[in-house]
Amino acid sequence: MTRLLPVLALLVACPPGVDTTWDPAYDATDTGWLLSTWSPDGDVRYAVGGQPEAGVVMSDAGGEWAPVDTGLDVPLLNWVYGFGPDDLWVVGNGGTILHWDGSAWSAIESSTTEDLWGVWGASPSDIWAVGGSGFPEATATLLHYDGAAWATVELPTLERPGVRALFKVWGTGADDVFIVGQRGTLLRWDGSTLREELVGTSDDLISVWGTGPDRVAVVGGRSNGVISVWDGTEWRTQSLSPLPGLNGIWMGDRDTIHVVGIEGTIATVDFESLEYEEALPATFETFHAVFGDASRRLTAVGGNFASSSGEYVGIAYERQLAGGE
Amino acid sequence: MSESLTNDSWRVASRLALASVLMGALAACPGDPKPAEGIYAPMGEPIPSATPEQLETFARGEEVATRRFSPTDGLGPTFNVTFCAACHEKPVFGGAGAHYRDFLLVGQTFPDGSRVELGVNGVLDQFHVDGSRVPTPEGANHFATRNPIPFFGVGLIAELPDEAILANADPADRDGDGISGRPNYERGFVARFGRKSQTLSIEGFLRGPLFNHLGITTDPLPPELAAALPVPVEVVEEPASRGDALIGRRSDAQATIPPGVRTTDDDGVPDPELSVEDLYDLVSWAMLLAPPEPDEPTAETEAGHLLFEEANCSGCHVESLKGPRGLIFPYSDFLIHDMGPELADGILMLDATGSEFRTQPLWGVSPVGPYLHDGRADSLDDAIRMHGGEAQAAADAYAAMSETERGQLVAFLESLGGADQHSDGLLPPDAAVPPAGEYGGPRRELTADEMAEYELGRAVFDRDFPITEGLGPSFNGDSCRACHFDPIIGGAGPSDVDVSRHGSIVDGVFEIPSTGTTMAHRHALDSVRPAFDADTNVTELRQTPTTLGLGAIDDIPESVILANEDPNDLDADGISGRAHILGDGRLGRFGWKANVPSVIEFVRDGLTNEMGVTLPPQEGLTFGATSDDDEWADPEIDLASMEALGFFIAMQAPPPRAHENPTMEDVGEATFGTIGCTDCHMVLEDSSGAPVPLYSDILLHDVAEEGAFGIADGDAGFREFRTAPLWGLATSAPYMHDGRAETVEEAIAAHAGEALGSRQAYEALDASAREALIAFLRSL
Repeated sequence: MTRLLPVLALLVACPPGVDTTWDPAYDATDTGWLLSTWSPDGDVRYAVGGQPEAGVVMSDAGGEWAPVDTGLDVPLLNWVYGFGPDDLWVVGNGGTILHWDGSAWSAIESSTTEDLWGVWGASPSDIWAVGGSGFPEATATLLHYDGAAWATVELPTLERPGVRALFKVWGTGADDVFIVGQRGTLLRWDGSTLREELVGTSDDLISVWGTGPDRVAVVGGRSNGVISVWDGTEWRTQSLSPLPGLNGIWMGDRDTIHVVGIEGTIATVDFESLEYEEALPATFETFHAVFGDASRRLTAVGGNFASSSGEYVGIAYERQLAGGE
Repeated sequence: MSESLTNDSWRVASRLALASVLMGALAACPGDPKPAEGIYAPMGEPIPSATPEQLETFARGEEVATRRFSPTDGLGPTFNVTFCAACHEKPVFGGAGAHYRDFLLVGQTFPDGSRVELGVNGVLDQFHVDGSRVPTPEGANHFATRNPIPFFGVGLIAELPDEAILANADPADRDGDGISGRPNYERGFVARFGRKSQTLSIEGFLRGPLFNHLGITTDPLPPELAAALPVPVEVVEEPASRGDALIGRRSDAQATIPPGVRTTDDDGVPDPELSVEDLYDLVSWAMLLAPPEPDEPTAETEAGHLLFEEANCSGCHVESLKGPRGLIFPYSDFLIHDMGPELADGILMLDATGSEFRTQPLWGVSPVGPYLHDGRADSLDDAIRMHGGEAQAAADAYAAMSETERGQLVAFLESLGGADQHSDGLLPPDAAVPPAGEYGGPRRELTADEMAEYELGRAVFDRDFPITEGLGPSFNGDSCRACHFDPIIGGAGPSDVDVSRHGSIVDGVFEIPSTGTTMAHRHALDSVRPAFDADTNVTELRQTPTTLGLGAIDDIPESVILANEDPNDLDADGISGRAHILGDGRLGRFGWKANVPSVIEFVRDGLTNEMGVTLPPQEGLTFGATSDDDEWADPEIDLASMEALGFFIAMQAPPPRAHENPTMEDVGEATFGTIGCTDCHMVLEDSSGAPVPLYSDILLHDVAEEGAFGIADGDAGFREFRTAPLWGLATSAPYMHDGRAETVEEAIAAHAGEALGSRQAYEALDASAREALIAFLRSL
């Protein structure tokens, strides 16, 4: 049964002249879950997801969201990142790594069967992917691509016990990479060494983004929202409850953190004060990712991850970014 | 109103809107809100407003709550208990638990103040289904004790709108009363269950422990069942307004293992190990458990009520909250409060810090002790005095009252329902003694004086021994009944009260640990698990046998027992039973190793070695300890209580036979003899020549499988065990010394060594002969 939630005209702080109403990007009901969205240039957007046994790549080239025929039989796809319209990386369950080179999609050997949750690179020849399932039999997984092949990177012995999954990776450059994961895990790569940092929480840290070496933010929390920010000197960590758990983060402005999460949560957090402004919910489903593109569109995607119905329903919302966001 | 609100303002505002929707009718009434009607019932009974359909669900749910899970049902791989009601039994199912049901939380804390849960979602289980004790996880550096929490009235608490709880929040202490309660949120909603208000939904509050304490996996309730719960979860798929939207959000907030997430394990039993139908019944049962009705006020309790207010106990223990049925009186604000460093346990749960705890509801508080999050207070008086932090002023005010006033205040608390169900253990007040010969009754007719002694002894047997009288410092149970309750007080115990024994075997020789005892207790009063001796290389669980009929065994003359000895197997039948003659020459009769010579020594042994209770010296008796190193004066039990206890145990009737199919049982009995079982499992005679149908020779035999190692005891080697009496077999599962056999059939299959021939003979029987033999055994 098609289930389309009616749109609530929901606004966040509204500077004059910009319509910041969250609207459906498209009817994603039948797409399956959507776990990530990204755009190389503001013209075309991508979103990936699907179902456990059937991954989906969507794009809105031409203004219409449509499935991308990758020609590949892949499981659920969890994250997308790239370096331009002709250089796109997608990771997913079972160690899936896909690459789009502008003419064709190809499945790349990943050297792991763990679920991969995040991918980011400083350059086309310096890319990181992270994964693991979080379950006891899984292994927290870090992969690196050197332009030729993906290889598993040995993790340092973590202080935090039982870490079976790394969820996202992001950086400001080749020598400033942040990796977040289960049980409050945060790893940093300085170009030569991978080291663990304790940031003051044992909640799962699920996503990371920033605008520069002194502006990095991490969000997580399965129940209540948790945020950690790095100002170049120290980490500040705070529960954002009653804001629910957060899955997705994006920053375009150094002071404004866009976050999304469970219970249809969409909010912005001030980097300095960590005060948040929340949009009234347009949906009760779970947002998993948010991304702002060069066209100043903010896109949030997710799905009915909390449902036990057996249906895989996606959601996709968008709004315009205002000045200072 | 601005369409963009900051931080929690819109969520709070939204809840106010929801509250007004839910309670609009009440709000429209003139005057004060009225108390909710039809909500009270004796503890353990359903709320009177339950529909006939709900009553059926309640009955089914109680069956689920009391259902014993075994490994083949999915128990484990690790577990603390085998059924839900194991921890929630006081004063009736659905209630709290005594010290023996305390459990440990385990984790690792870090320099940044964070803490990672270890074990099973932070719970350190006791047992593994493979028969071992679960080791303390590597890296564990932080432990905390939890005492089980009662469920009475939780459905009414679940009904409370968030706003009703938020109305009492004062996190910045703006009113300057020193009390700064704040909500603990779960996924954006005001959580309200658990010692730290860490759980929002009853479904979550049940699915979590099912997995953490039993290893029973579940799927979340599907929407159609969740919507049919007594506290329904409304599934709104097309929200059209903010109010509806919030109802929809609540529907998503029903399970805390996060919604939609199945619990799974790797024990080989298909998941879910509890069906969603059973889970629905269990959740419904919990939701329908009524709070007890407060007593009619008396002059004493009214005075106590005033003192309660004057001491500002009501600053946290808020008398009433407004729910959809009207006012309810849980005497809690369901907020979390800083309770000071003495009570702080360092456990972080959602937003709750290590020193913050939920205000525990006081309705029905009388019979659900011990009190406080870790059960450290055995009395309400102790509990009040132990309050600190935000409650320090109230505790100080209480301490400054006169003894009479303190008595009045405690009397007021005890008047908040359930006092008529208070018991020092689990026996209901004024519980009658069953007739002679029946389960729980004496083994013969008693005189009036004897009956008084029997009842006194039974009360001692049942009574939860308080910390302040000398329980511990480490222990397995806090009462005799803690382990001996199947099928009635005095009986056997399930695998979740197994005892761990430890030691070392070097070059084939068993060595007692340097602690001087092979006992490794389950509990300690200082939030640690008593460790195995460093040299331990062998451990063994010991299942709790019944005490029913011990007096009859005591009455068997030594000569009758010794007559069956054949230590050198002179008759060449492969069976070489021998008596366990203790170091002082006495004949051992009781225990898996026949290491205890008499009932009264059994009493002394149990009080000290199982409970940590020191004893008065008794001439000629050597078991038990007369002193220990806790802070309580020795002896910790008086002689009269011990003697009454001994009289009760000795006078209990053996398990009565129960014939379901006498013809088949007769056939089985004959087969039992022909295949050689009676060579060990025999009927003995007492001094009058009357048969004692215990079906044991009280001798030691090697029935272990090849290569087995275990725990020795005195002259009983680690492969030797006393022939287990078989009376009461049907009601004393699991079987064998370590409880490895769930069924009688499995128990037979576990026999080896001297019993191998009989086992093989049993296995060679045809199906009908085996069925008859089992029927005979189960009739005992």
